[in-house]
Amino acid sequence: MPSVRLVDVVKRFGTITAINRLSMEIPDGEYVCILGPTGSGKTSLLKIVAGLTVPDEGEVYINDRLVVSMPPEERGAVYVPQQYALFPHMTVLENVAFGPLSRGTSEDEALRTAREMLEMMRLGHRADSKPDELSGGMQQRVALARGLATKAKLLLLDEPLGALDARLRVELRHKLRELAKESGITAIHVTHDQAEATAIGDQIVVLRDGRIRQYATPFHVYMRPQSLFVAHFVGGANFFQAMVAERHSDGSILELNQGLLVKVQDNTYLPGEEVVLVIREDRVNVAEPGEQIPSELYNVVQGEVLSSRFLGEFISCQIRLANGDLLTSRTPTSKTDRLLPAGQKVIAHFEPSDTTVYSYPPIGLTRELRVL
Amino acid sequence: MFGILLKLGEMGEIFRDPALLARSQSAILWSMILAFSVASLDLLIGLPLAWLIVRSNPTLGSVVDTLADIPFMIPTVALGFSTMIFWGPQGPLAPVFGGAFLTPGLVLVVLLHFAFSLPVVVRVMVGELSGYRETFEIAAKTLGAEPLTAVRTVTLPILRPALVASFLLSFARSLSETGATIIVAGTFENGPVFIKNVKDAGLEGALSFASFVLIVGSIAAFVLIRYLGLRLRLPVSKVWPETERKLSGQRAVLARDFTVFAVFVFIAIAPSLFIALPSGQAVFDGTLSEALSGRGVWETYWQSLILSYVIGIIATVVNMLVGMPMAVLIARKRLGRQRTSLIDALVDIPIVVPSVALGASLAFFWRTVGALPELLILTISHLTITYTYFVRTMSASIESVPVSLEETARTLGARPLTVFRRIVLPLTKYSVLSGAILTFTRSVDETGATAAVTTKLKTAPVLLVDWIKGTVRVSSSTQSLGVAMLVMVSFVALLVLRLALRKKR
Amino acid sequence: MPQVQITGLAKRYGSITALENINLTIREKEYVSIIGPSGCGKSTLIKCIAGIVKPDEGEILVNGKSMGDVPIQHRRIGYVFQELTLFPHMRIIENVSYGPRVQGQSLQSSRALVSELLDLIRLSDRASSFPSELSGGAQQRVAVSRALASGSTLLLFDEPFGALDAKVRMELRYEIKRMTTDLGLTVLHVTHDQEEAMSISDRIIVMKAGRIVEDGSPLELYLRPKNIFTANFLGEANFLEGKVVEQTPAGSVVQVGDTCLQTVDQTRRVGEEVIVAVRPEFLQVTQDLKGQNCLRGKISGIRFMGHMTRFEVEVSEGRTLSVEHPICFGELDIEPQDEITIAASPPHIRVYPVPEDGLDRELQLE
Repeated sequence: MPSVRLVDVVKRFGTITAINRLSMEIPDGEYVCILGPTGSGKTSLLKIVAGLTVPDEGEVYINDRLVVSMPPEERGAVYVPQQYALFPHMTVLENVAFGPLSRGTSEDEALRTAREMLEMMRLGHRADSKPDELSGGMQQRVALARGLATKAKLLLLDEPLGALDARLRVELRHKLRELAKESGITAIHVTHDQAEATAIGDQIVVLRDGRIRQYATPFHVYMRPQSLFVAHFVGGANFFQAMVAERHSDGSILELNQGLLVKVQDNTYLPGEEVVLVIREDRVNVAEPGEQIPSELYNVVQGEVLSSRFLGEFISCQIRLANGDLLTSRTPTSKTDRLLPAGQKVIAHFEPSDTTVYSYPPIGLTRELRVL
Repeated sequence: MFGILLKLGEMGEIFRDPALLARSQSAILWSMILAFSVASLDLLIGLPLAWLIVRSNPTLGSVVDTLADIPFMIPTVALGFSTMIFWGPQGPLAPVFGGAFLTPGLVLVVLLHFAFSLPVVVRVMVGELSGYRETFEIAAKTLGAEPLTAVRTVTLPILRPALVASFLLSFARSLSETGATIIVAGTFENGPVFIKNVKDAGLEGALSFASFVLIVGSIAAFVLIRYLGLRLRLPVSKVWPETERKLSGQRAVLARDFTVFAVFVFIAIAPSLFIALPSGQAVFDGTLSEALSGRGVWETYWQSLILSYVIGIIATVVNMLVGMPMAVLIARKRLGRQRTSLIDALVDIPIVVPSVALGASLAFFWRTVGALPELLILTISHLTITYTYFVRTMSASIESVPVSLEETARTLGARPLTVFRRIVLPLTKYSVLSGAILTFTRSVDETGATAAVTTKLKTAPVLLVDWIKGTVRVSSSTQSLGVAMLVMVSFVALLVLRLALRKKR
Repeated sequence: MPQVQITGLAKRYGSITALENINLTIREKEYVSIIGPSGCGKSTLIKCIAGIVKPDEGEILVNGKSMGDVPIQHRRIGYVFQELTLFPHMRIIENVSYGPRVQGQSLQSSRALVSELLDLIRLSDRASSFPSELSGGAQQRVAVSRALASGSTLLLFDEPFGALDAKVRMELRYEIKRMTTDLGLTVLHVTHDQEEAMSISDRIIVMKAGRIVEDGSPLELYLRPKNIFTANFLGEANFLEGKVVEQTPAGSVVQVGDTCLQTVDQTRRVGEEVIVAVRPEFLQVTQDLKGQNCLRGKISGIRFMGHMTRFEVEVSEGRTLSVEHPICFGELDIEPQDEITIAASPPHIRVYPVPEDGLDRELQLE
């Protein structure tokens, strides 16, 4: 039975609608990441589930019980804000024991549970420290221990790794997921970092302007983004303005700038329609002249390298195609660690199955994709 | 919140006496001019002083910080008396000038008001400067601005709300203060002095008229100054690189610090502490034993002192109980943003309105509504006047506790009352102490409203004013000792507070 | 002449050493990133260069001139903070023209430069807005232009994008890099984000606990890190303990568990205990069971992420290796508990001496 269910939830702050008729189900035991830019309503969503914010409309169910009027302390859902909110005047041990104590457990019992939790987090030796004496990563573990000590089954994490250095984030995110799985709890993890969401979520909920744009596994969000926004927000992609030239049962032919023809797998749009063609950066193959390439008629384009960048795991290449469009490719360093020089002639090619097509946005492509 | 909007009873008789009318108008006008000038001077000296405390070497800074509080720790009646004798025939300047350097009058009032409002400005500005993000100033310097230019064009505009707030606090204090002003006023009359004089003369009509005008005038002045202060366009676009570079230099800064410090010590500190001399004498010349025996005038003295402390304690306890929920309401904006601002403004009224006018209006109200005993009216007026102190202190403190702490605690299973008890209160306990002590000392200090309300009962400050002005004849050493003993308790209480807060900081 | 030259720089705060024996040279028009964990001293370093912090020892030369006691306002070095420091009471145009104005220029003469800079960051239409009306990303772009307008050719960035969303950060870094390259500026960019540093720098300086650990191009530091901390900090790595059993002309052979790995290392001696590091993406699935550098193991955890598949392999004696398999190498048909063989080519296996304080402490990130 689902652990959390929202039905047509609406939340307004003055004239701004933070959550716009949102419905969502999160099954028991899942680690779900809510991904979206700042202002997309992610924190409001979490606070509504926690009971810290009351929605203007809609219903919230936790374990199939309607909880809209239930105060936070009775919901069994622990909220961990970005800065962890450790109580500065209490020791680490007192912090972790706070939950059980507040719920009526005896002091002995509460302290025992607290010590157990701290041992599990390998922080037993810091039980008597004050929160500000601990590093960022340790504070995070204390915050988690404090939440788990209440035996709550629902963990609500608001940008739990946001306060940490980039490298530390990568190291600790897997531990977060491990912890949730080992404790058998349902976790809702809010973040603006798509690499993070992709790395640890069972499911990703992509949020924009208070509405769900896609709810799927990381694989599906990446391979089959449902909208331009999702395609742009999750992982790097190339966007081309195009028009449908032909439509067949197994795909379509699109016409790009200067008449360049591309074959795609999608066939939902009619000839003459304005569309946007999306190809993921790492689905573009770059071959130097003389290299072997598939003998497909379509999707092989001449181009010239504008610049190459070394990104560590990948090499990113900006290519000016023969038809004037700009293409960015991403090649794993394990395949080649050669940086192609500017001016190098190359051949870019890609499979029709690696493309997705969307209708052309009314406000124009540049504005739709604007992030800055 | 109660009692503030109490309407006045009858008035109007005043219009029948033109001379009296003119005198009252002049008194109120002088109140405004005086308050405005004093507030300006306080800001002029107080800001560099606060700068010295926060930005220069820490030891010097904390010494000046402690000293800066002294005029605040002494009841204003004592301050007035001490100032009067400092500049008078017994003071250090007398031998130089062959007699009193300054006699009671306008100049002495200005010096007095300057002294007792300075700590207010310094306190507010030190708090603001300590919390101010220096990165703005540093950013300005990386762009090529000399230190003085950076402060003038970036820091001060950003701190403008604090500057306006401290100006207004100083303004309000000057408008309101009664006890000390009466002592040093001589023939000069500002609003509170006038009101006390007409009350003693039994002119009820004039009393009510002056109170009314003073209340309306002060609220109007407040609103006007706040509006203009926050919106006035400052000359931030003009720059004088060469001049400002020289003025930022070490020598200029040293000269500035020295001047400010000298003014501070000589005009604010020394006069405040001067009372120690004659009261020291009084200990040895037998007055002390007389006082302790409770004979003669001393009998009424002890009664007054006890009355002061009893009212003080009641006012404190009641305000803590009533003020705490209000503080939470304001800090957490429980009723919504707009309603909270309104309540916020209303809570400020007891500070804005001169206490003497407040006392008079309260007295009129309760006498017409029902015959309440004088003691009760007195207590209620003290409650009203000190209410703001506790609420303000607590709400600022609660606001600084991040809401996320309370939210997380709720989701961990704690009910709202538990959250308050185990999270908010421990984190604000110093402010509870601070607010309580401020409330108590303000009540003990309170002269204006008491003077306006009482006919029979006299609290200690009011009694002392009578002693000093000569309404009741006592020897000068009796005066000194009486004042000194009043100072003792307040001084000790505030010193304890300072030490407790210092430990926290 | 080098634009910045630092020798023997040191700074202490009581018993804490913020900087120790820092020596570095920055050439004109270089874009150099300084990376390291929190508390490594990178911010302190650029604050010393800007004059915000006074060092205890050492010398800083900018354009050949000693910075000694030169106050901040006379150094003509642009600085962008992590916090948003646009002056809140001034409009955007007043903010950007602040530098020229306080240096004595009239509004008239600086107008051309200011509007050119606003055009460059595409915010000309927001010239009359106040900072609070702009997004975080927009404010930082203005902050950079403001620093440029004051006439500096040397810019110091102190984690300028730290407060922004991941996506905004990515786009902003390229825009700022383009701008500074086009204008021929020298940049020292402090960040804790190694991906950011690698994507835009000519050179990266790695710091730890107040010292410079290593210095080189992004490619060099990523593929051939000389220091084990650098290896772990710039990207993920699997670490294995081993012993050098042979030295061949191609490089040392290290025995790890039951397997012998051929490396390209020339520095370790036979018999020495070493640590071997391999990045997850360089461990490749192979069908050739007799090939070089093969490790056999069992799959224990798979994540299909679209652009790659990441899985854990338990090799002999409880050691687990992380492997990343990019999708362009073909789709993987694997399930947990499957037996699998992975291999890495010699240049991708890096060899390091065992750290004195132990591996965990050496790699510690906070």
